Amino acid sequence: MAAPGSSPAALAIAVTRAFDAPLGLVWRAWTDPEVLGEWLCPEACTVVSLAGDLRVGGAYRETMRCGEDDLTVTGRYLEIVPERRLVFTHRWEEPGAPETVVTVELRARGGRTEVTLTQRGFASEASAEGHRAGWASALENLANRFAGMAAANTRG
Amino acid sequence: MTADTLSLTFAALSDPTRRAILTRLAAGERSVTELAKPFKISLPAVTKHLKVLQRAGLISQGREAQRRPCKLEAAPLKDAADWVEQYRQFWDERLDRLEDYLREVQEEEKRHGRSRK
Repeated sequence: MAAPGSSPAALAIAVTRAFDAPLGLVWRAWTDPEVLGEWLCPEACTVVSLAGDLRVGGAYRETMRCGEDDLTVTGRYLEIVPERRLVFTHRWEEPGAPETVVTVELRARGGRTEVTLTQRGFASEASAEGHRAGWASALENLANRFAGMAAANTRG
Repeated sequence: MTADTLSLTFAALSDPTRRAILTRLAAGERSVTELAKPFKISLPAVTKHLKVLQRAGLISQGREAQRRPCKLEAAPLKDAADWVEQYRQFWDERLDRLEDYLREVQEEEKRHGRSRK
């Protein structure tokens, strides 16, 4: 548990995941709205709409449906280093929801790609843990997507 | 933590409506009626799901007289995530080693001129 009075800035999460796909494909999965729409949500949800303006200062907006509840997240891109690093703000359209910052770092590892995602600025440790579970679940979607592509290639 | 607590957590997580509720609460606190509204299921049904989540310690309810918002609790969620992560890393490392081994075998074959063109 976080000590009482610990600053929200200290509330951060990090999730690391390796993907069976080259750097270029993983970067595209993080930046092409069409591809993002296939995986960018936790397992219990589906993406309803997703649009983004991929440039520094550009905005994005995503709506996902969890159960029958629609949730919308918005933000701006802060840093874009192709195939290396993507930084963006992240805020749920909810009363009092804080603006957090997500950093996605990509690294080639053999033919695979390792992604480390950090997010900081949560309002509570519970919210941080909730997001850690959410991201782990979304990255699982992405890993399954690449596994599905590899299986299709082998069969083809 | 005891194995029992972990069982309780995973049992609570075994239902898609309850997972959707948890995802919902990660974005922000909600009252029981606010949670029930979009789910198109009865208030008693939602209350039942919330009780399961509450018993597993995954959520708690505020004490404000009127709204009593539901909120996530960090500890059991973290324990469940840590448990899964431990196994995922184990398999990742094994797959890395298998990949290294296959590469070695391939190189060995090349050196012995056995690769078919």
